[in-house]
Amino acid sequence: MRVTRTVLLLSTLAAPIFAQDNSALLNQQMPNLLDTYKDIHAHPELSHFEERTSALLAGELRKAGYTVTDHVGVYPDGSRAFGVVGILKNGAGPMLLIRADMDALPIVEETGVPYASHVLAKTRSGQEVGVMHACGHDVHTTVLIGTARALAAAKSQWHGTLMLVGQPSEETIDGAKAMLSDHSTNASARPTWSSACTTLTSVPQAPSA
Amino acid sequence: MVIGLHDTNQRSAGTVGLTAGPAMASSTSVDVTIRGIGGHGAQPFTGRDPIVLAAMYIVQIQTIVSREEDPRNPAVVTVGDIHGGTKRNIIPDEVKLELTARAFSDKSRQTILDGLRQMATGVATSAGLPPDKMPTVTVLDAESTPALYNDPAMSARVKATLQKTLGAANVFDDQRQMGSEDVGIFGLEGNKIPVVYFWLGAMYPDRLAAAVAAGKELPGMHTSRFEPDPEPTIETGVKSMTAVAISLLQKKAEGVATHAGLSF
Repeated sequence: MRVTRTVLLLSTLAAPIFAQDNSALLNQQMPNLLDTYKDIHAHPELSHFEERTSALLAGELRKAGYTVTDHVGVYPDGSRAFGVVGILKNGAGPMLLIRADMDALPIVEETGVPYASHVLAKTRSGQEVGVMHACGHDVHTTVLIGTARALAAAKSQWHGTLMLVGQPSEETIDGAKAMLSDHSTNASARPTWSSACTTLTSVPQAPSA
Repeated sequence: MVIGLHDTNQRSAGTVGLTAGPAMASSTSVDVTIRGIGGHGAQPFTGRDPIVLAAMYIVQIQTIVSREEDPRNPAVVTVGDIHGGTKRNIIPDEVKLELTARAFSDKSRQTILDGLRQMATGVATSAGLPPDKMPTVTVLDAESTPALYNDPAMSARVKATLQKTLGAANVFDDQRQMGSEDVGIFGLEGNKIPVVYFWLGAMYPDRLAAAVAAGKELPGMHTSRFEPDPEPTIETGVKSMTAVAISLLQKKAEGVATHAGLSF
């Protein structure tokens, strides 16, 4: 255990910081990311209905150079989920999944911001409700887009495989399950997700230290 | 490895928070139907009033956390929805309750579910209801999610990277929360894949400072006035996530730790 701790400490010291060229790129991206945020904020979608948001995310990940699979996920009733998986391979190395959720809530927005939502939608039970990004999933999705661009531009600084996940239906807590069950039920149709999933699930348990 | 973040009304934009180990509670959705024998509101003795039984049940299940659960294990049982009856002078046949239970361990979760079942049966038995009028207690697996466990070793690495990226003064150790999240599901059963999920401060710093000075909170998540300060929040989120990803995606040969489960 003592040895492991030492290794961890050394690795921490050796870890690259947020390099200056990364910062410059981010500054350059910020106006566009803010526009993206306001766009997503003004167009919130309820859990199970994230069609527009997932298409926006999938398009941005494709533009950034990721191999993207969309419409990933199956709910227990057989309906398809709007999950997004973007893969960027960068040689041998570890694999990292970065997840952002995309759904909004049945709330009438009262913030008064210029980009406030005026969206009305029907819930699954047919009730008409206001829809609002009242849990910040618009921030999460925007951050994922910004991170996707930054990591694609900084490929010389990392090694391995990146898997970016846009998850639907966090508020109803059935989105992650829907995405993972797609692996078992529809593997042949979704090679990107299923092969990535195989890598995720086939990790041998390291012996406990 | 899996990472993610969630914004919060508890912190200013530009700051982040992290909880190593158990970070967010499991959430278990439970439907309870208390049954009775309906009748005229003026003649309750001719039936068995499920509204009174539901009231007794709701009070009694408060003792699950206070008397059945080990107080060292945080747990919550909340009845958030109750439906019964159609008119003031009609005793209905049943009352439906929707509950959420929060816990960190499987054992705590089981203690809550056992309590909910036993007390439901107990209330019905005390009213002398026949076996075919016993209450039903149904766990909704599709609307439940396990606790979120932040891998401690990976949390330490993420925290060190965040401190370097944002400055140590902007990185906080946060307490675990009874709120729930399904990001942990990507870590698979038994936390097979290490997960770290951290909090991204999202509030206008001046507004948060004024609220804290006044002993108040800014509108929180799931409220109509929840308002992130977009620019610094997004900037901090991208910076943090990018730096953390770069620090985790290094070849073993370059001296990065390969402690239990950290890389795969």
